[in-house]
Amino acid sequence: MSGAANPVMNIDPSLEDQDKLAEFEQRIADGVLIEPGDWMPDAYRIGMLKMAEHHANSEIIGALPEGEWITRAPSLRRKLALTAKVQDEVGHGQMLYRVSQDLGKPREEMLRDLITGKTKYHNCFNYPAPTWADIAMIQWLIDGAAIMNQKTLADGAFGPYVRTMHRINMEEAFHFKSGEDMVLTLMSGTKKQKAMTQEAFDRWWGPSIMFFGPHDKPNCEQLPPMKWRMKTESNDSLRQRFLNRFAPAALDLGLLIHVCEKDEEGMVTSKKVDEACVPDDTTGNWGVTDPDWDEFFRVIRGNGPCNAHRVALRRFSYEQGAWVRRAIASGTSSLPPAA
Amino acid sequence: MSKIREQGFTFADELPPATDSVVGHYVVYTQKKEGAPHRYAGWLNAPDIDMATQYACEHYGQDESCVNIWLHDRSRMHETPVSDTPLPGEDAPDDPGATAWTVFTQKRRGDIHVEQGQVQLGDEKTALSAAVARFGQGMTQVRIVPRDSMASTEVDRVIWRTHDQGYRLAKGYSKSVRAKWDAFRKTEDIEEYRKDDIENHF
Repeated sequence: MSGAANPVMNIDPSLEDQDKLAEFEQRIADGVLIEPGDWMPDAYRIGMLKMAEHHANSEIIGALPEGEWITRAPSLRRKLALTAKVQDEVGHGQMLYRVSQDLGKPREEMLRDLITGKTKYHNCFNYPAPTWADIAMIQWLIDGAAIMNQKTLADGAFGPYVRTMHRINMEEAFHFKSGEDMVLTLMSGTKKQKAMTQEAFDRWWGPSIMFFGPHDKPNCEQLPPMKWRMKTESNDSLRQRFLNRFAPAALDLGLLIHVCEKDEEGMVTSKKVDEACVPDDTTGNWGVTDPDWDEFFRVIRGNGPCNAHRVALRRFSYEQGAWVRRAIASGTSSLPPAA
Repeated sequence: MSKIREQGFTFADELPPATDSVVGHYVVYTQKKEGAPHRYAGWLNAPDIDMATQYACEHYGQDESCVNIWLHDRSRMHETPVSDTPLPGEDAPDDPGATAWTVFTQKRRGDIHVEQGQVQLGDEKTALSAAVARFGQGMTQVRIVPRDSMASTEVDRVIWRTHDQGYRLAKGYSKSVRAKWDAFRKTEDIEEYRKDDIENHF
């Protein structure tokens, strides 16, 4: 689901062997894919590791808000679909941890760094999902944004990540279509269903706009993440494509696009129609009021509505599962810890 | 919400001991139809190959329909370096009493490895060279794995379940989603919106 959004990458290519670096960059420019046995700059390996690990963490944490709704899904088919989706997301996390392992970091170290807060995951999973319509919005807007991002990541240069992305995207297609189906069903329903959907849309529209990360630096295409094809499209370009696709679709569904104020728990306290969300007469590109980037960075630093709960739940699962891992690994069993 | 998820969590100061060091790394291939080649699906971690087979059925076997799964410990495979120039290889006649090696090739960088056939030779160096000579033309990499180190799902095991799986596939929603959009939007707007779909999988 996550789309590997923009972990901080302080990359310094000046520390590399310059001849090898030039050859490497030429190969990237020629569209050659890099395989694990090829020479690569340390900065590239570290950058790809950060990106894949951040993506894996996001898949694992991203399953939590949806997992909470499996027991409350409104029909058997929705329950089956949500169970399959959560299983997929966790599976994506496992595949991406495997890519990361080959870049040099042990799997368990990654799992432990996630629950001790040493590494991060995507910001958007730190918001609450209090209704079934929030699950619909996560699958429509967040998975829709993730597909846009991950389609470009599948055009990247690191072979193992590209192969994994193709496989993940196949499943993301199901997640997105399922989400569309849920949103369309709700917006074809009763007044109460439509009101619930609007409220969920208000909660998720802002995080969706922030999904692609902050505005790009002016020379982003010349900086290593794009120059080395670790990512192939800028944050702002992806955000614009997202807006052009989803803003008119939401309006046609009868949803209103609001600029919202939220409380500390992520619930909307006031809202007004976003007057900037209209197509530009010349370019046709849809506008949007710039999101609250202070909120974005506040959530990254761990102070979002659900950060503490998400990480605590993951740690709880890790600790509760320790005896199972130990038993499997050593062939001996011991009693589980008291719940 | 479950009571566990509502509770305030309290934790010990220390994390439980790590168990990573005893977990193996397995490579997984799936076969979509009887007689089709096995194609690389991905990797997984498991304590042994039997458990890896169970994991593979639940993970890679539920991504898309398949009739068989192969696995091997990644330490058992031998590969040529990934090369953009023709791979050097010297053929040798099979020795019926020697080790059978399953051969996989990668056509282009970034592609998945696909089963090509088998060579039967005593040591990995000779076997890899023969595999390159027989199957490596136009390929960027050749991989061989001793057949007796590979696990396979049992014959006739149902991996991809036979009941309706439409709920977990994009194509299971395509018609109903399109019909519902038609009630809200003009055809040209729907077509424009659908341009960003992942078409191959719908």
